[in-house]
Amino acid sequence: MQTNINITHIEVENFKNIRKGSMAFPNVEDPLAEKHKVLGLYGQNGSGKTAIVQAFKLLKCLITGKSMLQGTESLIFHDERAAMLKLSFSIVVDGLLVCTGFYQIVVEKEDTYLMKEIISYKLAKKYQRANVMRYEFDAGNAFLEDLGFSHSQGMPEEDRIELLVQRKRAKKEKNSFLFSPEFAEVLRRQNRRSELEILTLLKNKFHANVVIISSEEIGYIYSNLMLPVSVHLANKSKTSGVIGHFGIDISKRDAQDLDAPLQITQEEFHLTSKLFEQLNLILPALVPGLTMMLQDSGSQTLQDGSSGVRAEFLAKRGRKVMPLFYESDGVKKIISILSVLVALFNNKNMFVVIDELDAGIYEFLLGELIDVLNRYGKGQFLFTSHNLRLLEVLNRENLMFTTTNENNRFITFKGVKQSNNIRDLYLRAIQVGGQSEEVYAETDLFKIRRAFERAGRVELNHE
Amino acid sequence: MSRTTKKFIVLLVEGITEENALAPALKEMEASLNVRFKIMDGDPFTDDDNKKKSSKNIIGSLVATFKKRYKLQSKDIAFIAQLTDADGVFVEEKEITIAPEIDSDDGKMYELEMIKVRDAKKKEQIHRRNRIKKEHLIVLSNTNEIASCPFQIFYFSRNLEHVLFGTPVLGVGQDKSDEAWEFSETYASFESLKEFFHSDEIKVDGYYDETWDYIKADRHSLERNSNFHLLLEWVEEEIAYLERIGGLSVENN
Repeated sequence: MQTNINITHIEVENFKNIRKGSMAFPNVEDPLAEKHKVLGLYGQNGSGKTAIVQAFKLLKCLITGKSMLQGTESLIFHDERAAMLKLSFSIVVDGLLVCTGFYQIVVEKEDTYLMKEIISYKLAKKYQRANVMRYEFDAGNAFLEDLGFSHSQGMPEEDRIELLVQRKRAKKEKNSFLFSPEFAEVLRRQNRRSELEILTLLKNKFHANVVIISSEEIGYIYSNLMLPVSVHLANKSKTSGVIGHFGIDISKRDAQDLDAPLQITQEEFHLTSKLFEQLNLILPALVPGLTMMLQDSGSQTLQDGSSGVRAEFLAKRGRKVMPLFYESDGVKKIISILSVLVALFNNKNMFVVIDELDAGIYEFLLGELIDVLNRYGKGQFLFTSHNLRLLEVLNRENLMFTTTNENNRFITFKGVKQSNNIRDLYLRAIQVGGQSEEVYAETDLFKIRRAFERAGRVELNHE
Repeated sequence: MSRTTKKFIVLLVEGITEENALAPALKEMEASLNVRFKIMDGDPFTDDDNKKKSSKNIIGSLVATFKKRYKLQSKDIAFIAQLTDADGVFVEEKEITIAPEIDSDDGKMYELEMIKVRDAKKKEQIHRRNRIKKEHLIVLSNTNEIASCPFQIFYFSRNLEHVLFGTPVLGVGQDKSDEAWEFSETYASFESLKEFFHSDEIKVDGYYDETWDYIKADRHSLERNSNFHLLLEWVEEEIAYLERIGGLSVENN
């Protein structure tokens, strides 16, 4: 039995610089659709692109049961008290649409906790009512009822107390109530099977198949601290899942010993070899002549006493071999995201979000890569970019644009004929409008030139 | 503001000084109309590359490059205005006098009554240039459409600096730029720029055709005058019209 969850929509309110914005993901209505699930988000600097990435990051954090990080309060629109995120999904079993639903949260700014959480789902058959589990911190007496525990069914005291305690704990630890193991345990004891199943499905999906790569992760590469990799390998049932996320330490640790091998565990060694095996099948197609090598320089007892390996991470270009550290930033970035892209291509359960996809990557290569992922890739892919070449590669349904209207942050383009070059359409829309919202706040050549000149005349006054 | 498009007015100018001096005041109107300067990098008529081309052709390709650069269509452009320096091109050959004692880098010096040149060779050169440019200007002043967009050509006599500052041509270089910036700071608003170009010393009376008749006559192309005020009037009327019809034109599906 093949179960597959698709992300269908996301709605955002009062989050970063989005007062209101919503996004629909392409080609998920048809449960059999296998392709064209790429969505590119384009827009001016500061227009809400990264905000969407952060929204997904926050949702993943909560659904996988983690605590909201410090600084989450800064994600809420500056003069508002709370932000709302709503993620809609559909569940497909063996090619048939079985259920649709959503997960909605309201995050309060001051104490950074979840004021409200809702899971609602509905079977895809006619005349079905939605099942709703609603968690509200300040629900008072309605607390248990909202969660679907009606009074008449009689709930053991111990379960009731567990939930009340969990409520306080969730606020204190800043994590999700609905996705907490304690709530899952109560559901199990109360035999609420379908609710538990939905929660488990979502949790597993986000844990294994949702990968979000923001500029933060890429920043580690540019600061030469480490190379983050997400390893996705097939298992016997031919579905891939994340086996590991780890960072390959590429920092210079010792001035005298630049090329010294790293000390890693046996398991990491094995994982990395497999990763390199996988990447070497693709890497040369993207960066001609390049392959990765992992050299075993002997065993080594690690700090914790376990036995490890001294490993050298090498890049091979033609006949030349050198430490991975010396490779260019762009290549390192490609290596970092490549395993994820392989999973995205092969596994329809994958949902990948990458911020600033084009940064550091050769434009032509990027275009070809996106074309492949869109036309033949099975998973869902959301990326943000500034590179307009991709507008020539993707179709109208695979593109969204940010607007200058903070109450309607994202739009798709209307009036696109088959023969239209969307890139030209966008460049025109920036200047003359013609879409349902303004997509660009005026900046122009003359004003920029003038501003540069004026700035150059600012004097340092001495008293 | 849904589905309506914003129009452009494109000003074709010979150098960056025109943009420096005039853009700020014109751009005040940008809520209603996009104002763009296309800088031609010198006089297109004296460019060797353009020797065999017709006037409309020369200007037409400049407009085409502009449209291509910004992915615009003809319907996006409400008006094309070419701005040109008169440079005394309409004066008769006899007004070009040889005066070897003139102190000038390029061997020529403009005065209100004549063009002084260093030698006969220079005289021939100036005369030839005048002839070519004059022909182009005559054609263009009688042209009201280029690349399917409304077109008119406006002059500064004898050149922009003369109109703005009442001074003779300065050497090519920095000073021009500074003065132009300062002018634009003084005349930063549309109203003030309009007032400036309506002043008696500068404004040429009459309809568009009449202003061109004027500049072609006598030694007017050496004197200080301009018909640029007509463009400013057009801009004002266009904006009033746009506001009257309730916004900008609607894009077809």
